[in-house]
Amino acid sequence: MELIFPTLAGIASGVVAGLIPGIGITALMISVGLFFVADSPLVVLAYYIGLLCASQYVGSMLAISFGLPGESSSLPAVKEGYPLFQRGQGSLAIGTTAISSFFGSFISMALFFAILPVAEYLVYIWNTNMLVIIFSVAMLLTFYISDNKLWVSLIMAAIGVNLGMVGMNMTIGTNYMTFEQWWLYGGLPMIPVLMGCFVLPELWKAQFESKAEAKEIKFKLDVKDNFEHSRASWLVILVHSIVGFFCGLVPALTTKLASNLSYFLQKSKEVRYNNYTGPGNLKSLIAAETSNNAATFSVLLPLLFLGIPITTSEFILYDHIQDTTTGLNLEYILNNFDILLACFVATNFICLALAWPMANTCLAVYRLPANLLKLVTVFLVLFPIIYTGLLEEQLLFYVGTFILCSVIGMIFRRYDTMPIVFVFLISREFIEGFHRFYVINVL
Amino acid sequence: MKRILTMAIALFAMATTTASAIELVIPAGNKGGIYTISKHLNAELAKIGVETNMDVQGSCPKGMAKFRSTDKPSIYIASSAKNSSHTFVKGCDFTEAAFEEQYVTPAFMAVMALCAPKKGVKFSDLKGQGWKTYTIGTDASRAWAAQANMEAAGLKVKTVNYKNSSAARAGMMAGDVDFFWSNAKEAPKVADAGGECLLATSADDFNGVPGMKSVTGVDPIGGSNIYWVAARNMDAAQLKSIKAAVEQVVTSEATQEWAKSKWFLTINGKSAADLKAEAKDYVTVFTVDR
Repeated sequence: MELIFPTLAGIASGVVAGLIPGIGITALMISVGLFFVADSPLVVLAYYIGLLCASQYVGSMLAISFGLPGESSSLPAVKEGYPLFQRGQGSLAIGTTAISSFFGSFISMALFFAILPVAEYLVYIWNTNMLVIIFSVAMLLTFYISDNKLWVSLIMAAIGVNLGMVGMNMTIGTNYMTFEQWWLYGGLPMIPVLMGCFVLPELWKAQFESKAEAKEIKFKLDVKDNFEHSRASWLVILVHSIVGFFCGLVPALTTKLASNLSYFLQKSKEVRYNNYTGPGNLKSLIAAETSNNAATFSVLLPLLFLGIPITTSEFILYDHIQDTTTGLNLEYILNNFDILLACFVATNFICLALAWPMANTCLAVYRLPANLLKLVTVFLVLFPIIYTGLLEEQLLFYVGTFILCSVIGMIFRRYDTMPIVFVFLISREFIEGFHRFYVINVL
Repeated sequence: MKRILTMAIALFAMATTTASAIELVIPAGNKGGIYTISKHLNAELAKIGVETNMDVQGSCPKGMAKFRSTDKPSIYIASSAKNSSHTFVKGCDFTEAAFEEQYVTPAFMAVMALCAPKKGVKFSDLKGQGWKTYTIGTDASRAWAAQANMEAAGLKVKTVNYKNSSAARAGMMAGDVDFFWSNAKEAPKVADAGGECLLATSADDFNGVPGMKSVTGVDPIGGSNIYWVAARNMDAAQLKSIKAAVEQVVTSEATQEWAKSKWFLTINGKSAADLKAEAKDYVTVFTVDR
């Protein structure tokens, strides 16, 4: 019973994180999460589970309705969901992604129990050789499934790597394009890069190149139709729950690797069977959304069972838990695992309700006349940049990065700019992984 | 004397809180030793009436830039070790003049440890296999110490750098490397995951982990780091008061217990002058090319 309030508070926070780009789960863990640091680690864990799950469910809604990624894992939802919304199939996109996300979470949970007898071998996903294979597959798929010609994708990948490698990297001992400016030592901030290189060209296409009329943000609940479409994609849901489960264990990348890798895999399949006729492919959307929700379960496992936080928000969670008398230890987690599972299950039921039958209520705040909606979209692009810039006391740097990336995005506006941002997102892990691979196996 | 000191601190606290709280600039994210110490100081200083505002800057260069540019009375927790740690990161360095001007007092110390993925590994068995090169996973800032200490102990080693200690620990458990070198506070986490720390770079056993000399027969080389407090924008009286306040906190009984639970060494019984000299050497003499 004591966990009901923190779980609901976590869900409410997740809804905010999902609806307002820039207010990520890390920021919420630092601020609101602090109020749930009780002497029982379960309280803050319940808050975190609610926050993590709800942000994934609701982030997809924003991506589908506005073409804005609430989280970096929502990029495929922008690419495939937003065109569906523009074609008047928003209800279908919202319904099927909510259902597939829900099943993705449960399949991931079931998968964990199925492989429990050999769970100790899961740690081998952190093996550098394995990570190098995963990153390489993801990178190759980026080129393979992109709508661009190969040379365009390669140029974009080069731009992505260069943007991603800016800064000092202690792990491999590089100091790249910092020009001796301390504010560049930490690298380029993610939000302005995503907004400039990806969101802006996508919105441009939707606004000026699409023939679709602006749609009202109102979804029709069609339970039978949504379930039938989800049922028709049962294999996609199953396969990408498994992909998401394993990607959720990859340090630092977790949900963003899960959704993007699943998207690339499914899209390549759709292309191969000539089922891909352009952005707005439902199965690719389902694959990505199933996968990132499957990852929200597995991402917790290294922290709970091995005490290894693998994302920034988990570091904060871990710190909060260590402040309790109990701390984080295996015995405590095993004794309370059923409670945590119950919390996860309940959260997913509530999130399903929020992201599907209650989608209109959640997005009511954005139900505005078309002209005003355009203004809101502009606000939602600029707000996260200004907000995070102010928060980091680096407003000029954030705005400057956005301007630079907007120029890049607009130069490539007629192409699919996803390779730039995906390569940007994984480049550090990718290069560090290769460097370690070289040190371990070659040096 | 203690009463006078407490009164002086209280007066200083009143003066500063009415004006504004001291900025506690944290040159790190919400994790790691500097953050943990800053959080503890923030809470304990408040108990004796010294209000500080924690300002988490996320990274060392950013924290240092803030500390250098602010015009508010500020303190900053620096971490220095031989050829490693924060004060060697580009943008986080102190010149000798800046060190002399800003150094206030030492706060804590920490030692490092060598850990294995499984229990029952004996260091003496490793030395018997002279043909073998062992791989040690570590975060980049501790690579020098890992290599220097293990070579001094007679092992052929190769260090593999990871983003942070958690990633290095995960790498060891995934079979990337033979051992893991990190802050000794990782020992309980290694034990939870089925491993064991073989030695700590402390003079004696540390929280149950054997000291390096007792295991290898050689003294540790630069295996410890000092966390010390720097201050800016304070006059002599303010500096004296903040120094007294921090010293009162770090030598208190409550902090001794806290430090033990967090695997920090306290500065009790150590000469402040020696610690300052050691920190100064770490900052100004021992450098590695990054």
